[in-house]
Amino acid sequence: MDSFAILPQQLVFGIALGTVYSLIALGYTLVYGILFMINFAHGEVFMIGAYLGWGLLTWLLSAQLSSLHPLWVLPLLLLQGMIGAGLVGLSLEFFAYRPLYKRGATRLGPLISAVGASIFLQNLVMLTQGARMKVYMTSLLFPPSWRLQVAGVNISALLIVITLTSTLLMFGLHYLVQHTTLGRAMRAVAEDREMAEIVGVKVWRVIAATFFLGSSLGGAAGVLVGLYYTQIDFFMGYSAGLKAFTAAVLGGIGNIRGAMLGGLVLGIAESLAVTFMNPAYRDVITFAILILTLIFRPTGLLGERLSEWEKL
Amino acid sequence: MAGTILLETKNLSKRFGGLKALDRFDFLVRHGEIVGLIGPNGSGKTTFFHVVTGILKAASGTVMFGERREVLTALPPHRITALGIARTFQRQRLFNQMTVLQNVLVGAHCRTCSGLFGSILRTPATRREQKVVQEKATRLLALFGERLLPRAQDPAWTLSYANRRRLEIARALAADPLLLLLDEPAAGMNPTETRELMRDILSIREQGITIVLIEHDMTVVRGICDQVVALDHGIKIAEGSFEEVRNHPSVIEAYLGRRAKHA
Repeated sequence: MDSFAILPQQLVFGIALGTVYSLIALGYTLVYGILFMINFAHGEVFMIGAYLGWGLLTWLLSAQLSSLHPLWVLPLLLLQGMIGAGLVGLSLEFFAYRPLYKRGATRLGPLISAVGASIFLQNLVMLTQGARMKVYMTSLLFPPSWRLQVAGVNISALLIVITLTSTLLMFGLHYLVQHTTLGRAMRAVAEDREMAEIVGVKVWRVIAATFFLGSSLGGAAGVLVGLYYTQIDFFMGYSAGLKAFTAAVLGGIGNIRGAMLGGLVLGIAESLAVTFMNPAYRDVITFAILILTLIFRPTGLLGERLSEWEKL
Repeated sequence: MAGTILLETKNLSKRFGGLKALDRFDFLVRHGEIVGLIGPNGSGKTTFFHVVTGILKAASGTVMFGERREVLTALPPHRITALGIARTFQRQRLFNQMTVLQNVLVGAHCRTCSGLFGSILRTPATRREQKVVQEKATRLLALFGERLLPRAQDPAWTLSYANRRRLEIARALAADPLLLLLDEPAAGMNPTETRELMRDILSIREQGITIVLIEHDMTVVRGICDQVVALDHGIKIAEGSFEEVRNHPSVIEAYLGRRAKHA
C-alpha cells in the first residue's frame, strides 16, 4: 500500500497517542514548574496506574457480572488508576523528595533520588506481580466491531474514547490551575515560593497536591495505554516516561499548555514518520526530536516558565 | 480597642555577620495608629519588617502581637500572616504572571479553607467561599478608585509602577490584617500620586487597620504619621511626633553625618 494513502489513518493514531503523551507530560511539567525538579519516577507512576487498571478489569471480568458496559467500567478503571497513582505520587514526594529539600538539598540530590525511586518501583512491581506481561482484556470491553469508517479511515471506539478522555482530563486540569483556589496557590508557589508562603499559602501542602494531580493524570494515561496496547509489563514506564519527558521539553518544561502541545506534536510526528520508514525507528525519531529541541530551542515551543521570569 | 498595644518588640536584635542590623530595638504600636519608621539607608528598617513577619529570625529579643500578646519570634511567616500582620515590599514582589485580581485572591489565601478536593469537586462550600473572596477582592481593588479596577484581568507585570505599589497594598489587605506594614509605599511616585496614596492610607486606617510605614518622603511622614521612630545602625535614636524627631540632634547627625548647628 502506498504510504501516502495511509497518512490520514496514521494521523488519527498520532492524535490519540499524542493526547496520551500530553497527559503523562503534564506530570513532569507540573512538578518541574513548582520544584524545578524532573520527577524521573513519573514513568513508574504511569506504569502502576496501568497495573491498577489491569487488576480491577481482571477482577471485574472474573466476577462474571452480567454486563460489563464501558460506560461505567471505564470511569471506574480510570478513577482507581488515578487515585492509586496519585497516592504513589504523594508518597514519592513525601518519602523520596521532601526529606531532601527540608535538609536543603540542591537540584542534583532529588534528581538522583528520583532515579532511585524509579528503579525501586520497577522492581517492586516486578517482584510482586511477576516479570511476565499482563494482558488487558480490552476486546471484552470495547469489541473490535465498534468502529467508524470516515473517508476510508478506520476509527475504533477505543481510539475515540482515549482521545476524548485525555482531552477532558487536560481541560479539567487547565480549569483547576486557572480558576480555583488551589490552582492559584500552585501558580503562586511556582512564581515566588517565599512570597507565596508570606501570603499564607501552605507551600508543602500545595507541592503535595501538585504531585497528586500530576501522578493521577499519569495513572489515567496508564489505564488508557493498557487498554490500547493490551499488554503491560513492569518496564513500560521507562520508555513512556522518557517520551513524555521529551514531550514536556518540546513544549517548554514547566509550561502546562506546552506539555499538551508537545505531547500532541510528538505523537503525530512519531506516527507520521513511521509511515515512511521502518517502525523500529520510532524511538530514534522521538529522541532525535528531544536532542534537536535541546540544541535549537532549549526553552521549547511555548517557552519554559523560568525564562519568562528572567525577562522581567 | 483604641489605645491598647497591638505590637511590641523588646530588645530585638539581628546580626548579619559583624553588622548589627537591629540592636536591642524596643518598639511599640497602639491600635489605630500610623507609625512612621525613618532612618538612613541600611539603618535596619526593612530588617525590622523581615523579623516581625518571620522572614528573618531574630538573634535575640521578642516580638509580641495582639491582645493576647502572642510571641511571634518563633513562628513561620504564614502563621504570622494568619494572626493578622500583612506587609508590602520595598522592591515589589507581585505574582507577575497572574492577573491583578488573582494577585489579590492569592493574598486572601490564608482566609480560605478549600483544599485539593474542594477544588476538584467544586463543592457548594468551595463555590460559596470563592464568591465571597471574589467580592472581597473586587472591593479591595475599588479602594483605589479607577486605578486598578478596570485592569483587574490584566497580568500584573503590565501595571505602571505606582499601580503595582497599590496592588501590593490591596494584596496585603486581602489577608484581613490588623497591622499593615508598608515598606516605602511612596517610592517612585510623583507628588500627585503621593497625595493620593496618603489619602488611601488614611482611609485604610479608618477601617480600623493599624499601620507602620517605612518612608523617605518626609511629606508623607509629616502628613499622616501619629508617631515617628528614627533608626540608625539598628539603634533607635529618637521617637515622638514628627517635629520632635525631626529636630532631634541624633537624627540630624544620622542624616547629615555631622552635628548641625542647632537653633
